[in-house]
Amino acid sequence: MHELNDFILGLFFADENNIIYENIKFSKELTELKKQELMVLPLKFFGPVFLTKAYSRSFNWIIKFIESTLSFKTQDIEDTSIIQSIFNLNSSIITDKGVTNLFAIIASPYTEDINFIYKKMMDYIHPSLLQVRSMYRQVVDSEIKVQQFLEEELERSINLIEYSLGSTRKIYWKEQVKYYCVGVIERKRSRNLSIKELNIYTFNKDDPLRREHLEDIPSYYVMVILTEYYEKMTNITLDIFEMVNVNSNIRQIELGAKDKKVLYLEEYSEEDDIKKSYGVILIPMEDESENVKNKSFYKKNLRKMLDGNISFENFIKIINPHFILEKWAATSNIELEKIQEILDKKD
Amino acid sequence: MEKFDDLYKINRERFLDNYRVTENILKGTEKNKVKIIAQWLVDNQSVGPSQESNIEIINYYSKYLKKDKTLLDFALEWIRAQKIRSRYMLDLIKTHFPSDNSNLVIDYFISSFFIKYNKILRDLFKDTIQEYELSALLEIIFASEREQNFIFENHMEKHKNNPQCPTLFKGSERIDTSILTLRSGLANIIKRDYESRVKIPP
Repeated sequence: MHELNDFILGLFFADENNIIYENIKFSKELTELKKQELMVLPLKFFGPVFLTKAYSRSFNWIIKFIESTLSFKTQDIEDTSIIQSIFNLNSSIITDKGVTNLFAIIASPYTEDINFIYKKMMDYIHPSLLQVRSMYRQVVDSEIKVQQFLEEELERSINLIEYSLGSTRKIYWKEQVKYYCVGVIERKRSRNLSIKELNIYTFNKDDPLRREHLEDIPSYYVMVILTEYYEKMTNITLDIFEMVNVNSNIRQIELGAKDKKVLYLEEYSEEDDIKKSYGVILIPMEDESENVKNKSFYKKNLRKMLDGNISFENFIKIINPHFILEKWAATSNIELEKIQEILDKKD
Repeated sequence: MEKFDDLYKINRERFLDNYRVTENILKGTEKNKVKIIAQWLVDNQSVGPSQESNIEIINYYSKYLKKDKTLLDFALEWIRAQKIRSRYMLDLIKTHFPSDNSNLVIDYFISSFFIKYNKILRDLFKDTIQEYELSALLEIIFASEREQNFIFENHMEKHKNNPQCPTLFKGSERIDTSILTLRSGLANIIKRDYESRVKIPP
């Protein structure tokens, strides 16, 4: 609701056949090369959305929300004209022909009231797109014309989101939810890429708890891919829009399926040109068990471990005493296949 | 929108008590229930274009009321709509939009104020009601009380001929076009209100 200076706003609609329509607004002049890079952005952002659907062990899991924090690449930057928040929202609606997705990428100089924007997408914008499509399919005889109307509606939608930007983030009062951790993701990367690690820690493969909680997440394979992929994609986006002095760091990812929810929280630290990120895969749980904790417990212990106040071994014990220190690497396709074959196997 | 949660609440008992007073006064007259409600809406609640028009409107829509809904339920929804209108007008005079983008004004106010009302209104009627009839009703119940020269037949004809508000079916199943109906019913009201608003500087 304010005039935005630096901003990126992309709205991508994928129909049941994964055909994508997009509308992107931004505040900077782009070169032809950057514009070409921009063209493939929607498909890249949708990649994990389609993958999550395809590789979920059960239900129709959907990515709902991805948020990154931003950090300066170097310490001697004085430029204050930078974005304050960058996040992705995805609304999925199932039709009789399959799933349609509406995905937004938003970078803004304000903290943004994400719930407010997400509600607009789910309750108004996404249903409007489907209704406009239904109406024109019945009144015009050409699918190309239907697509034109769909694109006009997407333009209308992006204007509404743009107008809704600029509100300060609100704290919504919610009942305290408690979570149980089903996995820890470790990422290490040096600037020159001589170090590049992606690992997951969880229950022993033979532990019945691993099998029991497989229904509560899309799959370990999907979870381990999402963080690395979206952090990279956010950095690519920032680069296209020449916001080159900042790096993105994944902070939170939310996924949902029917009445299920997965929350992924991540914290990072950077030392000697090596960035270390650790995240916890959480599922809501109502049990009064001592291993069921609130969100701040996990954040606090992630921070403690990254700041060197507790060892990684202790961190794992605190987060979930049923976890073992066996590392499941996930950098190569072979390693990922192993995760699918063993960790994601029910029997 | 959490901040508008109270927007949809009305004190049903208070309005019904108020109606009973009018009903008792008019009991001895030859007026039937439709006429009493129409008069109560205009005289006591400042709702509707005129008594005569209100009678036409109530008579027309009463044939679509679900079995468990009464004429008074219909009247109360009209009052609720006017309450939402008052709150929306407060926001409208404070809000500024980029010029020549009437679609943005319409989308902003429908998504902020009227989207939840859709379910409430539809809950009154049987499935046989057409989308254009709902769109016509939306334009009636959310209209300014100053609305003059209202002719019910013309109003219905205008909505019947609007291609943007179809009743669509896939096989025997009705396709959801409720947002298009909201736009069709409210677009003119929102545009007119916005253009004629008293502007308050930011």
